[in-house]
Amino acid sequence: MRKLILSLGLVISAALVIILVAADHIDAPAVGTLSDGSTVEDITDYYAFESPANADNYVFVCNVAGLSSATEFSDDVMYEFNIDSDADNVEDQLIQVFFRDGQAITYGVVAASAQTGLSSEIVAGDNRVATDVSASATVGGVQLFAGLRDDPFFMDFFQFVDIVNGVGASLSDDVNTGEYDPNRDSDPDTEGVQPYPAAFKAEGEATDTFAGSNVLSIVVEVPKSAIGDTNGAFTSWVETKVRQ
Amino acid sequence: MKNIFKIFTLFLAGSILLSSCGDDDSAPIEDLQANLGAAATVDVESTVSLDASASVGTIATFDWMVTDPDGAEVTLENESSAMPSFVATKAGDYSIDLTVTSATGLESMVSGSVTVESPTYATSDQMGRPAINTVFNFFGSAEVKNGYNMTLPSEGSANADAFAGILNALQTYIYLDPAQFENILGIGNDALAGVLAVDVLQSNKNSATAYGSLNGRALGDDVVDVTLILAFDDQSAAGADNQVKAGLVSDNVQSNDKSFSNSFPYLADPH
Repeated sequence: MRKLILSLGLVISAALVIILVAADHIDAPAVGTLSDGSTVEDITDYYAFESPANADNYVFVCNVAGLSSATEFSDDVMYEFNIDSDADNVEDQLIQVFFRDGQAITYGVVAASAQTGLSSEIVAGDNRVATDVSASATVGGVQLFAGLRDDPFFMDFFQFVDIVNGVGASLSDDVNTGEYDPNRDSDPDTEGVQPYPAAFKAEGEATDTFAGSNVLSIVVEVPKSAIGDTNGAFTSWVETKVRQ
Repeated sequence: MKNIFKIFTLFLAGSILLSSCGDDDSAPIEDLQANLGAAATVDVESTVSLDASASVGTIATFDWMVTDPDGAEVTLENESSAMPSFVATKAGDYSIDLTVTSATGLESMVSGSVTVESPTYATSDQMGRPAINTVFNFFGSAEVKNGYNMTLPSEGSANADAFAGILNALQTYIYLDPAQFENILGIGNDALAGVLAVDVLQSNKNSATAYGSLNGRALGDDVVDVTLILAFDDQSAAGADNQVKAGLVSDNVQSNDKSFSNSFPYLADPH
């Protein structure tokens, strides 16, 4: 434990140069940075919920390219929703969404038998749903949308960054207390340094960092009967995968 | 970026000399040439556009026969034209046969194939629950952040100790005792880290979606507040009097800047 805190402290100086990461927006440099922008490989958020329009359906949403000016998908990037019905954290079913010639395409829910892990190929199913970007299509009960949308994520992200950087600073101080120091500016070893906040701003003062920003969104709605077991329980996650 | 359309031109070469009977030197000669262009390769699911417009001669009909790798006939768009197309949904070789018929009833045939490959796609990013990489790898190196995005859920447990360490450090910062911390689920940091390190989203399709009850994630769910409550809202006796935690169990941003729709695709129009 102590070793971990110490190692945490060692990287603090780098962290103090604020790195803008949020929800999962720009969460790793390989998929996007604030200066270079988030890419269509960079997942910002993942949602899975009962359809508000039809209680017999379930909806999967993958958002990418947050805080970015990107407006186009790539034929080289596939979006793969993974569904695990037997609690072994290995996918049993997939919903793959990929792009060809400017169109989004999915076969809805397909079996994942040969497609688990970090590498996938496209698995064809019975119903091929294809739609132009920013439009939608329905085939065999499967609805597909891909296009630019408002980023549904909301958070006072900059205040979170300030708070967490305070944790880092407390570990970097000579006293290395690891605790919040409201008098940081008057302590001899940190004189003149304003204390980091240890609380979020009050309602009304807090700011949604993501207000006014967009994401590229992939939305698939499928019949509940197509996913999971009859007991209803499943886990899911989404991956972006790049053509090799 | 691959080509938007793959165009295959069927060059009709190879002469078939046709002439009327008799020895009249001035009789019209009809010259058809059949030659298929170089073999081509496309990714599966691509639209393949065929093009026989370079055919030589006065052609009345184009009769195409495309069969997929399983031997089944493929339905073509614009099947009677010089430029039909089809979607290559199977990996393997599609065979292409074209018969052109001239106005005088003469025929010329050409055959070829299109090779369809199924490319491999490799993971670049992955996500189950919101904010895991951001919060728990906040101080992590680029290597750590990139590596986390390639971690399969079945291997996620390897991160549990590191995640518990982050929870301990965050709680220590606000004067909570990590050793005694117990959240509203009645679990401590090691157990919570064990759950969060396996980055999957639990759902039960038979009951109402709510991230707070560990059932899926709806667009309007305040996942940040849920996460903060799980990480900081100490229910143990030792944490009951802590004054700092009250400022950390909500970011006080309660909803999105735009309303969500009740019809597909539910997310609000872009700005």
